[in-house]
Amino acid sequence: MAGKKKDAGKDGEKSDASKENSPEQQQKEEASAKEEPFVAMDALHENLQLLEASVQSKDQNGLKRVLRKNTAIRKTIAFDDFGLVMDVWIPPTSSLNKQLHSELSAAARGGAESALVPENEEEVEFLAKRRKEYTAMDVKTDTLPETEAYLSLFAIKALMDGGRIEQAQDSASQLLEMISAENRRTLDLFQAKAYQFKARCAELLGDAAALRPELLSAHRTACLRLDEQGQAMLINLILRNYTEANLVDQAVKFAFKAHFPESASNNQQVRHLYYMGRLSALQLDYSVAFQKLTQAIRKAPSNTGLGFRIALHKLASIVQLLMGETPERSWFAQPEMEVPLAPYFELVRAVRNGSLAEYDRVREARAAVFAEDKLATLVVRLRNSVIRTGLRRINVSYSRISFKDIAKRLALDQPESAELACAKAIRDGVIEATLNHEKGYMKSSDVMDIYSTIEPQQAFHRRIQFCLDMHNEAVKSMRYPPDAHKVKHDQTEDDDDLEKKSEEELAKEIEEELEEDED
Amino acid sequence: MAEALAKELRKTAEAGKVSSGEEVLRKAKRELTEFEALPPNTEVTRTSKKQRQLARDIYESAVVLSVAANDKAAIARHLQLLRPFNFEYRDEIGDSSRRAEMIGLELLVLLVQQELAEFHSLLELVSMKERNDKCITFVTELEQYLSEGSYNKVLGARKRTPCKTYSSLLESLEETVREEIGSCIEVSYSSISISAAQKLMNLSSQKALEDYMTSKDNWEVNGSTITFKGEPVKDLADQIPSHALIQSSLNYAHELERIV
Repeated sequence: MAGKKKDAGKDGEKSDASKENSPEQQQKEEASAKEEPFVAMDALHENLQLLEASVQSKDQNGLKRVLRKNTAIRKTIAFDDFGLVMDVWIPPTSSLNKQLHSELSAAARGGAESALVPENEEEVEFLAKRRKEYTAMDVKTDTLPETEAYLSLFAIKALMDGGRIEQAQDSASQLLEMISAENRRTLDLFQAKAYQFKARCAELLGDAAALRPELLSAHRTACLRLDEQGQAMLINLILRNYTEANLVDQAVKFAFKAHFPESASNNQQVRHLYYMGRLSALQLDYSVAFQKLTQAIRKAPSNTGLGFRIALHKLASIVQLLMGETPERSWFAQPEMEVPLAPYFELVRAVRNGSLAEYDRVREARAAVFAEDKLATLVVRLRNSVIRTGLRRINVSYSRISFKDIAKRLALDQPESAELACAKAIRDGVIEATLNHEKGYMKSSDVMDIYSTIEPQQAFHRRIQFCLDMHNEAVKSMRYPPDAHKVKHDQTEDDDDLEKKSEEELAKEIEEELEEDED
Repeated sequence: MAEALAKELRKTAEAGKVSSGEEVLRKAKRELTEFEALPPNTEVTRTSKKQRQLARDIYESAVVLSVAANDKAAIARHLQLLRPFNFEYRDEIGDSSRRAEMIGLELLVLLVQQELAEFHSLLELVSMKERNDKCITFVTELEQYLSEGSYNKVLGARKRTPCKTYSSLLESLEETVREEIGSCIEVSYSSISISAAQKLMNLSSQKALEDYMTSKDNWEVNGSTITFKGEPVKDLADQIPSHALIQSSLNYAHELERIV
C-alpha cells in the first residue's frame, strides 16, 4: 500500500515538473545530440524537486539521495545562479531569502566561490538563456521547511569556506532552532548536517567545550526519535570533541554506553572506527585498536579525504609497531603519502633494527611532527618495543651473550637492567632463552619448529575468518530498490536500460558521497 | 569560616597530625556542602572562583593528610575529588603550587594499582610542557622502567623521590615489583644462588627471602642455590585443542553452506 502511494506521489510530481520545465526539456533534447552539459542550476532545481517529492512521500532514501547529489552541485555552482534558483523556491520577499542572499555575498567576499567557468561562447550564451528562464519562473508560495533547511545548509557551508566562521555558526544555530521548532522527522538528516557544521565552527573558534552539553542532549533526543543518521553523526561529533580535548576517560565511557547504529553511512562508520581505534590505542588495547584501524583504512574512500587517510595510516603504523609487528612497506610508498609519512617510516626502521640510539634520534628530531599529530605519547611508548625487537634479534643471532654486551647493544645503562629486561622478555614469551646469573650470560634455547605448534592453524583460521567476514559484509551492504521483487519478468528492453542507467547513477552518487569532505 | 578551616587544615596536614587533622577535615567537608560552585556545576559566578579555590585547598590538604595516615583508599578518593579543580576549572582558578605534585601522585596511585589504561588516560590530559616537571617525570620514568623490565631502577627509586608524599606509595610499588621479579626469575633461570636472588629482588636479609619463598611451592633450596621446577610436560595429545578445532570446522561448514 505504501509503495503504491509513493508511486502516485512521484508520478504527480513528475507531471508537475514537466509542465514547469518545458524549456529545460528542450535544452536536454538539444544537448543530447552532443554531450549533455552539467548545468549546476538545473541540477539544483531537480534536486529540490526530488527533495519535495521525498518529503511528501516521507521517503528517507530519497532525502539521502538529495544530500548525496548535493556534493557535485556545491562544487560547481556559481552563487549568483544559486540565488536565482533560490528565488524560485523561497519567496524573495521573505526574511530568510534576504538573509541567505546576504550570507552568500559575505561568503563570496571571503573567496568561497568555486564555480566552473564556461569554456566557449556557446555555453556562455546558453547559461545566460537559462538564467533568464529561472528569473521568469513562477515563485513558489508554500515553501517546505526541508527546502529552507537545505538551502540554509548550502549558505552555511559557503560561509565556512569563505572564512566567516562566526557568521556560519550563528546561522547554524538559527537553523537548528528552526528545525527543532518544526519537529518533523524528514528534517532529521538536515539537523545532523547542521550539527556537523556547528561543531566544526565551534572547533575552529576554539570553544568546542561549550558545545559539549548541547551535543550530548541532541544525541539523547536522536536516540529517542530513533534517528539513526543523527545518532551516528552526533556520536562521532562528541567523540571528536572529547578526543580533541584529550578527555580519553570520558570518551571511552561515552563510547561504551552509546550504541553506534549499524545503518550509519560509510563515512560515519569510518570516522567512528578511527576514533575507537585511537581510544583503544591510548588505553593500551593495541590489538583491538589495530583491528579497528585496518577496517577503517579498508573502508575509507580511496580517492579523497587525503588528510584523514594520512592520519589513519600514521596512527595505524604506530599501533602496529606497539604490537611488535612491522607495518607494510607499501603504506609508506604510496605517492601522496610518502612525504607526510616519512617521519613514521624512520621510526619504523629504528624499531625494526631494535636500536635505541636511532629511535631516540628520530624521536628528538621529529618531536614537533609527533606532537602536532597528537601521537607523541604513543611514540614514547615505543621504547619498549625497540628493546624487545633488539632482544629478539640478539636472541636469534647469538647462542650465548653476556649481559654486559646486551646492555651495550641495547644502550641500557646497566648490565643489571639488561638482565632483568631479559628475564621479563622470557616470561612474556618474547624470546626463548635461559639466564645464568653466576656467569652472567643469556643462553638462547633452540629454535622451536613452529609447524609443530598450533600457530599455523591459528594464522590460517584468521585468514578464513577474514574472508568469511568480508563476504558477509558484502551481502549485508547490498542495496535493492524497494519494489524490485514486484517487477515482472517480461520487462521491455527500455525498462532494462532505464534500470541500468539509474543503477549507474546510483553508483556514481555513492562514489561522490564517499568523496564528501572527510577531515 | 571555611577559609579559617582551610588554613588550619593545611597547617595540621603539613605537620602530619593525622587525628586532629581528620577532625578539621570533617568540619571543612561540612562547610563544602554549602558551596554552590562545586562540580558538576561549571557556571562562573561572582563567588565561584573563591569557592573553587578554597575547595581545592581543602582537598589538597586532605590528600596530604591521607598520605600521612597511609590510607590508600582515602588517597585515591581525595585525588578523584581534586581532579576537576586541576583540569576543568583550571582556566578560572589558575594553578595551585602543588599541582604537579598532585598529578604525579595520582599517576603513581594508578601505577601501583596497575591501572595502566587509566594511567595513560590521565597522562593525556597533561601537556607536554608540564610533563617535564620533576614530580611528573619521576612517575612517567617509573612507568617506563616497569614496562621495559628495568626493575632494579624502580627498586632504587625511593631514594630519589622528588616529593616526600610519594614515599609510602613507592613502598607498595616495590612490593608489586618484587612479585614481578619473582615470577620472571622462576621462568628464566634454571637455578640461582640465594645471595644473588636476594640481591636481584633487593631484599634486606636472607630471612626476608625465605619468607617470600614460602608462598612459592616450585622454588626448592639445595644448599646455597635455589632451583626452579618447571611445569610438568603435558601429554602431547592434551595440547591439541580439539574442541576449538571442531568448533571452527563446524563454523566453516556453516558459513560455506550459506555462500553456496
